[in-house]
Amino acid sequence: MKEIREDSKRQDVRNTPQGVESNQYTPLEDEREYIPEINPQRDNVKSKQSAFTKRIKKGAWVVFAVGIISMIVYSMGSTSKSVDTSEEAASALETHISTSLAAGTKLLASDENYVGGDMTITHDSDNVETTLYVWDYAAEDGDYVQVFVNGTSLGDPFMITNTPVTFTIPTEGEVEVLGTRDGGGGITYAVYYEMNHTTYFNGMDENGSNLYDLRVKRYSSKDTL
Amino acid sequence: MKNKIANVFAFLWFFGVLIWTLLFMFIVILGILFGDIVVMLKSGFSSTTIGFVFLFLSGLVFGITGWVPAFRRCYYKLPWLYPLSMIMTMHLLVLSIAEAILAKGFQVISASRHIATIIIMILQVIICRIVMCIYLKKNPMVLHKYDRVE
Repeated sequence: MKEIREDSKRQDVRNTPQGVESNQYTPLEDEREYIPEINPQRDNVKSKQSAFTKRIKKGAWVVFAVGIISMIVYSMGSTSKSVDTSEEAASALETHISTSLAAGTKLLASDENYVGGDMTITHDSDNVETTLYVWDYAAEDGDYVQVFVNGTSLGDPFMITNTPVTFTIPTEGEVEVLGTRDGGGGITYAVYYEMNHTTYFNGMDENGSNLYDLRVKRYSSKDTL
Repeated sequence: MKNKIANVFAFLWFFGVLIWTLLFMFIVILGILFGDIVVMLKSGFSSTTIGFVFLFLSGLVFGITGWVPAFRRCYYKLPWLYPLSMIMTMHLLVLSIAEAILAKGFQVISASRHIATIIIMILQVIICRIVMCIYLKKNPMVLHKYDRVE
């Protein structure tokens, strides 16, 4: 079986005047690629591969490259983490406080409708300001919170993920975390204060809030003697 | 004999993997459009994205289909399959980028940020569709099996 392939970049038979090179009638056609017969032996010979086969192979590389790039982009943008199953994590799940776990630790695979409460945090930090880390310690299910310091908002409500968001806050005063939206299973979040290196695993319902009263422990002259 | 074995593998790959990938791709494209993008626009809240993950899986399947001679036989038997696979991949890529932009922008509840996100997403879709049109104009998928010349 004889095959012909036409390509706009190659010979354009439409422009060839009839009778110059051939006395055969050449019909006017659009640009076409002809599908070859299935012949595995032909596939092994690169030079004899049809334009269609070459295009399929080229397309395969392009699509594969797009897939790899997509996965890289997805991995770079992903904030999800694996659940910490250590003893410290198990202990933190019971006490809801940890001084050993790092900021951004994930304790649960799914939200468990935990409603915590307000806290008074007394610390002995000399610094005027500290860093506050806020993250979702369970599933990234679309919980939104807003952080206030002494009644002033630190920004718009934002979605909490397993990767912490940081704020610079004073070491003394009131920090309020307001639950703006529950993505399902209650709003589970954790806050880590750099001033006392402690994480508080807390929770609330939608439109609920938790207040953290930050106080500096003042030492009297008797204490120092 | 070798040809028959290759046909068996081609049959298994087509009915076991490729056809399901195309089917899921169709569902995912609809899911991203109506389940993610429209829902995010209506609610104003971000959601998890699935487009890039499925783009990776489909890229892997279509890549293997194109590389392995036995697997790409389906493209010769069904000439519409290759253009369909490529154009659906392009659709999925455009929608996945739009979904990712929207999910990122809607992570913060702010009217100005939401408006900016929606404008960027619309521009991205328009630009990607124009690029897609230019590419397909330069490389048209005109594949006629019935025009084989003896």
